[in-house]
Amino acid sequence: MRVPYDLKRKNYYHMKQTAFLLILIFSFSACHEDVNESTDPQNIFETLWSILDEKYCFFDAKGVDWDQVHDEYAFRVDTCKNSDSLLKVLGEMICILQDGHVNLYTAHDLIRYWKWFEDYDPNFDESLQRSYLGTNYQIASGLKYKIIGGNVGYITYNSFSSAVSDAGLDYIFKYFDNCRGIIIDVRDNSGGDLSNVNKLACRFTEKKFICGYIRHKTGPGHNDFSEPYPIYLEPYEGKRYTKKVVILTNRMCYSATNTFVTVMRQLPNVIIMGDRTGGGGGFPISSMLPNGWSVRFSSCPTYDEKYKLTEEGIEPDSTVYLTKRDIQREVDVIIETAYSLLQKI
Amino acid sequence: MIRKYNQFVFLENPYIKSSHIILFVFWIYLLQPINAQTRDQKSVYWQLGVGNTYLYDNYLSPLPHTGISVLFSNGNMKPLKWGLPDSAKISFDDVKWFSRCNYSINPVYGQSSTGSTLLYGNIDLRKSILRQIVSDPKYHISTGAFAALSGGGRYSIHNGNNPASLDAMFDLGITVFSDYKFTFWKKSMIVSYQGSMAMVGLAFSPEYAESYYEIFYLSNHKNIIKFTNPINKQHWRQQLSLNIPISGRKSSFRVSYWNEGRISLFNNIRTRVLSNHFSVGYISYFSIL
Repeated sequence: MRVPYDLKRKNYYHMKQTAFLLILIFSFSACHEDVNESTDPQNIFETLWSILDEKYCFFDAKGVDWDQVHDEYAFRVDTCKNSDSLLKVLGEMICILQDGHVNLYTAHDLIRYWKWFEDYDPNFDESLQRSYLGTNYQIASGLKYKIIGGNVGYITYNSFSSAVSDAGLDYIFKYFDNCRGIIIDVRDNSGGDLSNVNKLACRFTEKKFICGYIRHKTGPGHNDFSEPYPIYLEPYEGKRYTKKVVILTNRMCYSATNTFVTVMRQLPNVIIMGDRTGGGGGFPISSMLPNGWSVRFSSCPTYDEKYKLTEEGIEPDSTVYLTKRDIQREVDVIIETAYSLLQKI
Repeated sequence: MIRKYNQFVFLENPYIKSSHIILFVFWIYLLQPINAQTRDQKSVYWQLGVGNTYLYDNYLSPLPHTGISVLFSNGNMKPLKWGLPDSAKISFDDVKWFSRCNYSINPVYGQSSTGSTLLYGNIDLRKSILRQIVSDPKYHISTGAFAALSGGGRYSIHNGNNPASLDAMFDLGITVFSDYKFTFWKKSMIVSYQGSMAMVGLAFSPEYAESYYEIFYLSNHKNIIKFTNPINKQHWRQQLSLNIPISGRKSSFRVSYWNEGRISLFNNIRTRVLSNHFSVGYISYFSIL
């Protein structure tokens, strides 16, 4: 079939328009950047340094000059002959941050800064705790609980990674209804899931209040932070517990447990007892290095209700230490002090 | 060493050799085609493809991941009666407007050079309206606009504290569709091409190092919806298809090559999803005018 000349011209005009659109589409589909995946020690160092430089949140709070760290450690990385020596140098570098949330994970080792509890007395003895719990305790939602003598309830919670269920908490607080008060022992609980903090803490308040603030990095600059966002604690709509509560703490209370203590100490019916918590007030995130190692670090600072950083830990209302002599006597003075306090009510 | 990434990463797959592709095309040819789609018909198609996808998301990792991906696509194309009299007898050549609907599902299993795994999944729903601007007995070209909704996410098995990132976007863009009818060895076939490019829209993105805990658990929704344009987000899709009518049926066999890319830069978070798929499919035709 013969195509008329006018139609041919019109078609030619429209085909030029179409060609322009196609060039536009192809031009976008043709470009993207290269990524440096070299496993050269210098590149691994630069990648780790840059990840922390751009996303770590406590440089100013801890007074760390990260550029100076770069200059010092770039020189040392040049001398690394194998991955073990590189790991050692990088491990030393990240420990400058003195942050328990900063870790380097390899297949054969975990580089960590644990001085926040290693340099202090433990104030906790598991076998002593077992002697108070006995064998006839109950377990619900990761919490072990029983009524110890004198009508005092005792709960121990070893990890906020253990899920807390509403049904389990309903039962526990109903079980403790007639007690004078309860002791919640979170010593040696090094954190876990923040949603479990809220689930447990909301059982102890009668009103909604601001229990802290959170910020996050909005850019790679050391001071590129969002406005503080308030964190609220709202009362649970079901079963709540409003009698006296004593929270037992030690230096191993870290991360989510530190947040739990931060929130609970604001409640009028709660006393924090034991040693200062370990801290860990930065919400951690993870990333990877070109040689397969993983890095974790704090990226979102959290604050208490007075807008003070919680990274350095929370002071207890009542400082009580568990000495070696107490352990030899088989008396957990921290539990005993809390017990005596509740007996006086 | 800087590794350069070819966007046609599928061709780097050592398990697929050119001889396989030639044999596959020859096998399709043996399906004895007898007719081809005409402009008045609504077509419904199903396609299943495999290919390779390049993933990059600096929120989760500074390393790119590549891996095998699957593409399932279903959609239709139908002529519209816009601007035509409401009459039963309309010439096929009068039809100027067409609509295309499509949804696709694209799961990916990606691995980095270190062996770390990144899983990705995406669902895309889109509708295009096209106007025929070039008409010839042998070929047609149509241009138009499309609206698309898509959502998906990446999950890093190695990240303990922020293992996932989400995609959610609404796009408005331009699209081009063309087809060319030809006879090969006395058999009528149609080769068609559709290219689409997002121009404006809305997209979800956390702030630079904002945690999903803060967004979803603490409900801090500030600055998480971004207005998109070709500078901060490029999303294109190209599909080249060969339709081979099946003997004795109102249907065709289809082989396609898909190229799709999603590149975005919001709040210093850079993401790239670049995929190439070869797919096979089946098309049914229904007369509707």
